[in-house]
Amino acid sequence: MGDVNRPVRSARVMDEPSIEDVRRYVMELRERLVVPQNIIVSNEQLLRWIDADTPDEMFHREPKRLQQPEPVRVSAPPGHTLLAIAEFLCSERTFDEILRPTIDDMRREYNQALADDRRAKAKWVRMRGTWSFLAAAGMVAFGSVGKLVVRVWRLIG
Amino acid sequence: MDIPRLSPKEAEVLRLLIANGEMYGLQLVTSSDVLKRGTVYVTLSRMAEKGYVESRQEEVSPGDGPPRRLYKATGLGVRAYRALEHAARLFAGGEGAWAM
Repeated sequence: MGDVNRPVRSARVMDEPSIEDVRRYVMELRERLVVPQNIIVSNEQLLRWIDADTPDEMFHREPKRLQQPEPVRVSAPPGHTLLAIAEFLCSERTFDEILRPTIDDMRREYNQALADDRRAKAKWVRMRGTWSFLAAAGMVAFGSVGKLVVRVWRLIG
Repeated sequence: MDIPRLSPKEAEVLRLLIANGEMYGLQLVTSSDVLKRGTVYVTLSRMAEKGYVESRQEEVSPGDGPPRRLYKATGLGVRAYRALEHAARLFAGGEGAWAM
C-alpha cells in the first residue's frame, strides 16, 4: 500500500527533478492511479496539479481497478481424488508400486499435452489415465481375492 | 527344479528390458503393442515378486513430475527369457531334432 499511496509530489520535493523526470514518474504510476473521485486524469492534468502546488491529499491514490484480471481457475491435478481413495484403501506397497506410478504417468502425458496446447488430447489422456487406474486397481483387487481363495483352499485341503 | 513360466506380457517386458537396459513403465508401454498402461505396473510388480526384474527410484526428477521407477531384468529374468526363447525355437524346429 505504501507505494500506491505515495504522493506524486514527493519526487519533486526530494531532489528537485526536471519536468521530464516528473513526467516519467507520472508515466510509471499512471497505470494504477486515479484521483479520489475515481476519475482518471491525464498526465498533463497531473503535471498541472504538481506545478500548481496542489495539496498532497489530492495525490493519495487508490489502485486502479478498471480492468479486472481474467479469473484463474485453480484445480487439483488429474487423479487427485483417485489417489486419495487408493491411499486410504490399499497397502503402501500396492500404492507406491502400482497405483501412484499409473497416475504419475498420466500426469506426465497430460502436462505434455497441455504444454503443446492440445486440450483435446489432454482430455483424452485424462480419461484413458482414469481407465488405466481403475483397470490396475481392479487387477490388484482381483489378485488379492484370488490369493485369499488359494490360501483358504490350502487351509481347508 | 521348477522351470520358470512366463506369460506373454512378462516375456515382452523381459525382451524390452534385455534389449534396452533400464526402462520405466511408460517407456515400456510406448515401446510395445502388447503392454497397456493399466496393467504394466501390475505385471512389473508380479515380476519383481518372482525375481525377474528389479527396480530403483530415479535419483533426479526429470522435471516433468516426480522421480520415476526404473526397471531392469535380473539374472534370473534373463535366464528365464533365454530359456523361453530357446524352447520356442526348438518347438518351431529351428534347431533340428529334439534332445530327449
